Amino acid sequence: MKEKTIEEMFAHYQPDLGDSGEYMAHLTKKLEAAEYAKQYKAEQTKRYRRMMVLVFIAGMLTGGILMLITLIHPAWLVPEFSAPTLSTSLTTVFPKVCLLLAVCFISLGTTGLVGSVVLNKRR
Amino acid sequence: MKREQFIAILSSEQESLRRFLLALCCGDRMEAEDIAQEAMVKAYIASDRFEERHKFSTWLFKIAYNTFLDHKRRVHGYATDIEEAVQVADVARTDDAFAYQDLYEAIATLPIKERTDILLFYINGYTVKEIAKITGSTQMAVKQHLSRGRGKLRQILER
Repeated sequence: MKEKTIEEMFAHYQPDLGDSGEYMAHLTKKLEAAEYAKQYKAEQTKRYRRMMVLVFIAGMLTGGILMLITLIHPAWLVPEFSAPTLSTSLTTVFPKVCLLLAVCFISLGTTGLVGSVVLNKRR
Repeated sequence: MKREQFIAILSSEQESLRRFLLALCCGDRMEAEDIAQEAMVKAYIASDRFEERHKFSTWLFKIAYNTFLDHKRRVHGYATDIEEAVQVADVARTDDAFAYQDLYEAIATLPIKERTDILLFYINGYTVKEIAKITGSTQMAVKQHLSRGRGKLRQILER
């Protein structure tokens, strides 16, 4: 019985909301104004997506080139136990630096890929 | 979704939404209308992200509920149940609001989550699963809120 009382209480809840037609006409005007905000947001999302794609391509390309340089550099052939000289130090450091930069750029490229996928899902 | 399509769907949902928000705001018509307008505009701006496989009303009510929470945080902070019940009694009301004064005072004593779930269940006829989607809760939490809310309302009705 008590459950029915709660149901009845809400069933009788019919507040006067005014004229629906008038309300929708007023709301339509607001939505027309919101159109600009909607278009701006869509443009912004498109811009960010393009940026992410560029970051992805640039990151992967640069990372790939650096990786290639690292792999073909003759310094990889220098044995670790040879007596270090300035030139051998530089030739061993160079490919490692290239490898590090390659990893950084590939990470950046991956970030760009993830960003563009996320923005694409949000569209 | 095009504007005309959005408006056509919205015109069938707006009364139900406004009724829910009016009860959620415990009869504060101005606040309820502000939140309703803001929610509908937000829904329109986000309408491109609406996926057809979801129910439009559930999606709209979710936006409205989140807008209500944001509004509460901005304007009132999180008032306690007693403070809200006092506000319900104090604020000048229209005749229409006086007709439902008892209802508003009763639901004002419920915490926001229980109040929302009770209103979505009894006024809008949503299922527990739909309420969980709207409020971002689990179905178990919704059932608990409904059970607690009913218990508190029964105690008030018995007085």
